Amino acid sequence: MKLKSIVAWSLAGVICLNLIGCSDGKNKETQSAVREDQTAENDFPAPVELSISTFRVGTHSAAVAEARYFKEFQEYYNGVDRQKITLKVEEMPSDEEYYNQMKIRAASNTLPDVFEGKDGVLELAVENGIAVDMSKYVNADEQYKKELGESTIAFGSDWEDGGLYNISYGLQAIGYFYNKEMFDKAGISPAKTWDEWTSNLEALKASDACKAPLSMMTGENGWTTNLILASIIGTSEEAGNRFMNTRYVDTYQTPEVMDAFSQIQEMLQEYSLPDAVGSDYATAANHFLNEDTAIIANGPWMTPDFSDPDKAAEGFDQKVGVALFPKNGAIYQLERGYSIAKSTKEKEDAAFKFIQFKTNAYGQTIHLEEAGVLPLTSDIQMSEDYKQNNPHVAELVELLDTIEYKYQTIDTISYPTAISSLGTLYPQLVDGSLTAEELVRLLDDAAAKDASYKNE
Amino acid sequence: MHQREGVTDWMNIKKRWLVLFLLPATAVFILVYAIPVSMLTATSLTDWIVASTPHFNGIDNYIRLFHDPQFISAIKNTLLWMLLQSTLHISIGVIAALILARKKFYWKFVRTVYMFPNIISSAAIGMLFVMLFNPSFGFVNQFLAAIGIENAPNWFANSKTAFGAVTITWLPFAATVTILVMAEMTSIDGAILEAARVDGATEFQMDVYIVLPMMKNIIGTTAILGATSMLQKLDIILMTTNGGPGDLTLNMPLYVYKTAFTAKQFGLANASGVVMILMGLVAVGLINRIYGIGKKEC
Amino acid sequence: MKVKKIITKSCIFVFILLIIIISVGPLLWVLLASFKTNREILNGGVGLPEVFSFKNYSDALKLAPILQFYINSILAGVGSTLANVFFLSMAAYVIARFQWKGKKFFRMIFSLGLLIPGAALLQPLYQTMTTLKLHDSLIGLSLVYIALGLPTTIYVMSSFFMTIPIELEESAYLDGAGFFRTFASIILPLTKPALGTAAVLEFLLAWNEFQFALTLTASNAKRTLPIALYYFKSQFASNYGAMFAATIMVVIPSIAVYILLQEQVVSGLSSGAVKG
Repeated sequence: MKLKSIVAWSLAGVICLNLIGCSDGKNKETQSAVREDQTAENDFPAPVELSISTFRVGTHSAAVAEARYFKEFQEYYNGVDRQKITLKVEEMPSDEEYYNQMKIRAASNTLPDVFEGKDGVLELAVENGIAVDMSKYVNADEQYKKELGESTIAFGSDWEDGGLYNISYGLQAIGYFYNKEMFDKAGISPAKTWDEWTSNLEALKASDACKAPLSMMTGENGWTTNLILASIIGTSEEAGNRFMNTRYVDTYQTPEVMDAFSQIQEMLQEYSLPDAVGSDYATAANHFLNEDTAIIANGPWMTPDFSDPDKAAEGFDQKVGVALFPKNGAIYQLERGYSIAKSTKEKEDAAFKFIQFKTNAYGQTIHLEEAGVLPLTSDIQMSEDYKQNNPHVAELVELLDTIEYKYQTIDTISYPTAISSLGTLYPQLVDGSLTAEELVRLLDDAAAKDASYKNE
Repeated sequence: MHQREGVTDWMNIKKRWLVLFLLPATAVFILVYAIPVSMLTATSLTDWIVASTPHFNGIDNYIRLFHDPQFISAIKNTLLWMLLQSTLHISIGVIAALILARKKFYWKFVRTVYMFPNIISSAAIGMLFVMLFNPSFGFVNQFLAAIGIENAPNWFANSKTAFGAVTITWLPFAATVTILVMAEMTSIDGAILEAARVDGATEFQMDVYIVLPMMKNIIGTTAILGATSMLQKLDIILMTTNGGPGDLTLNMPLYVYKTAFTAKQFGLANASGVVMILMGLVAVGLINRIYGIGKKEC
Repeated sequence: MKVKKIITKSCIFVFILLIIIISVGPLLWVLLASFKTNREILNGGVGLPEVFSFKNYSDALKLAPILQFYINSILAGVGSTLANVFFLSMAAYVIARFQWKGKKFFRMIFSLGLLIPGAALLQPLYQTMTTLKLHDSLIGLSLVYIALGLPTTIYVMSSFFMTIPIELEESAYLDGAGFFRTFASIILPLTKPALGTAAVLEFLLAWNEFQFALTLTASNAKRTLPIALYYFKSQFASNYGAMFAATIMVVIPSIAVYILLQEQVVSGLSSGAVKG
């Protein structure tokens, strides 16, 4: 029937359009860029529009800092004393949605000019040649190189071809917070060994100082639980520490890991509230802030909550202490940071300027003062004012020098599929339908599903 | 009862109008469904990973899928949910429609109010249930403790109760079924019901022997809509159990989502999507046959 | 006999009561929560808030561009509903009431829409829309919404069309009415209950849809309300109070539209019972 042929032709037509559009995406930009160059009249490069997406909006702790960056960047690159660079900002509320969108963009080769490649996005971008090696830019600017620090550059160049594909914007150092009042009541102090850790938990349980000693959670990405898990493995000698510093571990079936899971199993069964299993971060955090629990593993960004009247009772912040994990272990890792998507030279140059603006000394200072993100080098110091207003962060920073075991988070060392499946396996570990051995085997299965999994 | 089989002049000559009337629907369909689905199917035969160029690899993806125990679980759970929805959920909605159609004093209020949970976004509903079922402070467990049942389970996290808990978040909310059935009820000839009443039939008898059979089409339609809605349940599972414990509440849409976005395997995810579509087609065909939708009768 | 009647009546009573509880409960809970502090919410009470404060509402408006999104949601919602119901009932009409080759085929492919996983559609649709320069446009988004509601509308409308006696068109034709006029002035008004219902379902779809809205729009100038709800939930800092306040702000118009359209349907219910 005639209608069917109309349908068939239109289908064919639009598929053709699509295929053309797919490959044409970036080519169109080259042409217009060339035209731009030819019409530039002053000494600086022609004006550029950068596309960037951000999830630091709404309630995100760095939302204010982020907005400030965008504003100040465009005021700085205003076309008068310097090239004019405008930012086309796309807001992607919630980090998870941001990473999902990045995957969609990467699949259509339309990544924003500046992007954050967590969750495996950067791995795939590098592998398929759509991320830019920034070493040429960084090497041309000694001052900036110094402000980044050697470890930042080493971290960003940890790729097969040694290229610098991501520049971090801050350091993550995590220990745990505890309720000093409850510790006093139970007659304990922060544990120096893991045996002491367990006996502390026993003491807290027996002393009736809290509803449960630990604020654990297995929902979302099991954040607070996995910090403790990471610490147990990361402080267990050479092998464990190496494990916790590998990007994308191939297997979880090692004695350190299995032992760690058994300990976590006990902690979830004996020393947590009933809602720990399946709980999300907000609930776990609230239990600590509401003085239901005595210990929560988390990073310095939590500290403003202690004095937030909407979240905690008056004077709670006085009761909170900061500690490193037993054996002086702590999470100590750089944030993945920013990368540039392959595009025209003009856009790539401008994109680098943006990254530089955000991660140089000035950028790090803003990040610290406004969002509580620790700077990349010790060159950036906290102001006295800041120390006054953020005693817990100051306390944590002082402890940094005493760290003996540094390791990364479970999220960082794991394939995303493994982390996602861990959240669903925890409940079965807790209710006994899985043993630690079985759990790690299932984790391996999950890891193998990831697109970046290398099965050599 | 309603339509004759006869074909008249009027019906035959307006072919032009037929095409015109179908055009907008077809255009939109091609744009949003046909093209993406062909892209979907084509890439399901490749090894496409986010950011890479796809290479043809035949039915490798499909073989891989059927060797994945999680995929099998997802299929099982989805089928079970489709069955439950097209039976229990529909029944609740139809019963509500029959009761409300009697127009007792409360009918307008209930019919308005029943739709409320469908109006609230699933993100909020998910959060509500998570808090409601929270074992430490949630209303459900506190209520149970008050009436003497201690140690109630952690509904969403316990292997035995997770499936049921997740099902409850959508099963009883059958307002769509109710309003659809009630809308179709308006087409019932009042005279027939009047005659039955005069003959001494009770309300119950009229409902079962007269109304229900006449509603066969719309009930079948809602069964299809209900069953296929199980192929779109994603948000609420993500919010409550994320498919766990293990894969006890994993369904096919969630499997597709995880394969595409967590594992970044777009080719594989599309293959699972194709399997899901085929499954759905079979289900729709089956329900169509059971209810005999579209068949004219007299 | 009397005992049977009492049992039936009490069953009905319990049934209706349960329905009222599960329907009003959630909305009431969200409403009360929107006046509570985050602490109160996370400590799980179901009762009244300690203090009835509007802080959550002002926070919500400050944290997310809700008012800006409102306008877009209304445009997309109303636009896609009108287009969907009007154009798709046309298609439903010819499918339901006429015999022609390929009718079964069209019927089948139109139900395809119900079966396609949204997650798998995101990337291809994103690519299609970008190619057609319809990315970040309310028109593109509305087209998607019209399509997402296509199967439901066609199902609902064709089911209803089949209940209309065939003689109507014949007599209209005999009276000299054209095809379109017959459809628009005679058949369509008879289907008000179904139209109202289909419109409600489509509007709610467009009003509450999140994933495609996030993927297919980029600038705040084009974003819709469901996206606003996610401004209150980040990994370590969620403001549930504000989120529930925003939820209430989003829900109220859709309830209003629902009640409005329901009036249409109800008027059809009370009057259109007799045919022929």
